Amino acid sequence: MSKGFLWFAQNNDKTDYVDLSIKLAKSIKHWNKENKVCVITDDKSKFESKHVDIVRVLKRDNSEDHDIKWANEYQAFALTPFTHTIKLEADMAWTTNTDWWWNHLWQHDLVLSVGCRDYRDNIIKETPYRKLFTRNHLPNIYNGLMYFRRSKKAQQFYSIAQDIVENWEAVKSTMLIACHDKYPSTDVVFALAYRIMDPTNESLIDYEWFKFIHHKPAVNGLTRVKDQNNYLWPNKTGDALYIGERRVSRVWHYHDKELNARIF
Amino acid sequence: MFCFDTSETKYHKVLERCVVLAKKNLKLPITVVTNLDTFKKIKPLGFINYKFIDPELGNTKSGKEWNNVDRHMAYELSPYDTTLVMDIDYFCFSDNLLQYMDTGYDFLISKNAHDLTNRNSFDLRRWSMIDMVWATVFVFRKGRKAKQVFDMIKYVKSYYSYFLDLYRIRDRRFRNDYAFAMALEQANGFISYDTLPINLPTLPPDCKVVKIDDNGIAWQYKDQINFIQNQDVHVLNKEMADV
Repeated sequence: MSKGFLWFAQNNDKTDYVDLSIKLAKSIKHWNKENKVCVITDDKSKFESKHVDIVRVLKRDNSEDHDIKWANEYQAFALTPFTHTIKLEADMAWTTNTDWWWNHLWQHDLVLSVGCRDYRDNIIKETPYRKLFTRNHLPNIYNGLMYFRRSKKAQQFYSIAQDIVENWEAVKSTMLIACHDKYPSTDVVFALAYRIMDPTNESLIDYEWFKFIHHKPAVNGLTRVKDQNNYLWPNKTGDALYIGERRVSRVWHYHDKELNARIF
Repeated sequence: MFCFDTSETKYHKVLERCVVLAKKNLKLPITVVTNLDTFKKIKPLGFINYKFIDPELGNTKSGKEWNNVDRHMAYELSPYDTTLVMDIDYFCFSDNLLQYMDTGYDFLISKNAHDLTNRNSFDLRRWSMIDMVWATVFVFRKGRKAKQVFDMIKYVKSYYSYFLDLYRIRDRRFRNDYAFAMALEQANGFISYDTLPINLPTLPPDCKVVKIDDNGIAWQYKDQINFIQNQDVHVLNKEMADV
């Protein structure tokens, strides 16, 4: 029985996701004892790093000609080498030990993070970024932090996600209202897949500790600020990460790649 | 309670009302920190303790004298193990605060105020990087942690303009609300701290108090008169001293 972290890293013209991945892997290994890491990448982004235990190369790259590489995330279930997997996104950082999570997570087949947190640790349920979710009655889940175990339920979930991705044009025009995403954005795909599986959210597990800090201005309540990074000045002192007046100790989805170069 | 008359405001009159209500509804022993000049004007209020200090002068509010700088001394001045520190313009029309006198917490303060005129005029998020607390009402239990908090308040007070810049606080006057917020932030290692689970019911300064009795308070806002009963109220309009 193995457990570990998995995410995708496919470089594009703008972002070196491999670099972000190595730094994320390093931060996970720094904090956690259970710290096996697998990164899924493509031929062009193939890499080796002492911080990443397993690098798997996509055999079938659905986003080869996409500017934003979203279309492969449904393959997480098929490609994970672990029995118990926490799936992440590359532009994240670990700030605390989370080994205890496994004791809760592995009792379930599928756990998604529902809602997110601001840098002050408040749970944020509604943001202007999620109007599409509200309009379409999709569960407010984030694929940036989710858990699945090798199970029929998880397999079904990822299989529905695959169908959505492979039929994205039809899905967005016939199943979703006001969806104008050119490529299948993973949060929407996973939310729709979950809604198809569990329309009433009866089995949706919402752990208050299983949420990341989403570093976006409207989540942080800083839409009036021109540059939230300049305002909050995220910085690292030793092991401690500070954002604004707060020391944060949750998974940080920094989102803004400029911060990667500056902080880590 | 801290009470110092100024040349503009007869705070002792506010104190008199506040003490009567606190005695009736909270039934706690009361200590008033004041100076001799103010003390001489206070009418007999029954059995309450007085502590005399010379207030630190120099702070102003809207160009008027504002003697609010001594709150950091509450720890040393309090004769009690558990102390409820209350502004004298906070009127207890209920015993709600009593429930916070016997908790396991060392320091509790409120972060939110509820505007009784429903205009949400106390949303101060944009004026500083940190949440302001309301030092109007707070409870502390003497011990290591509370001492650390008060020591930190003293430290923040000593370097107040530096901390104002650090936390990008727009208001340049000394405010206990910000000094306490900054100290709590610092003393708690930059993570969340414990707060009173209440929004302080507050009457904004543009509301003129027209009547106070044993049960509640009536005020005028524009052309409207409103009244609230059996509910604590923090009154920001200091002219209420003459009501």
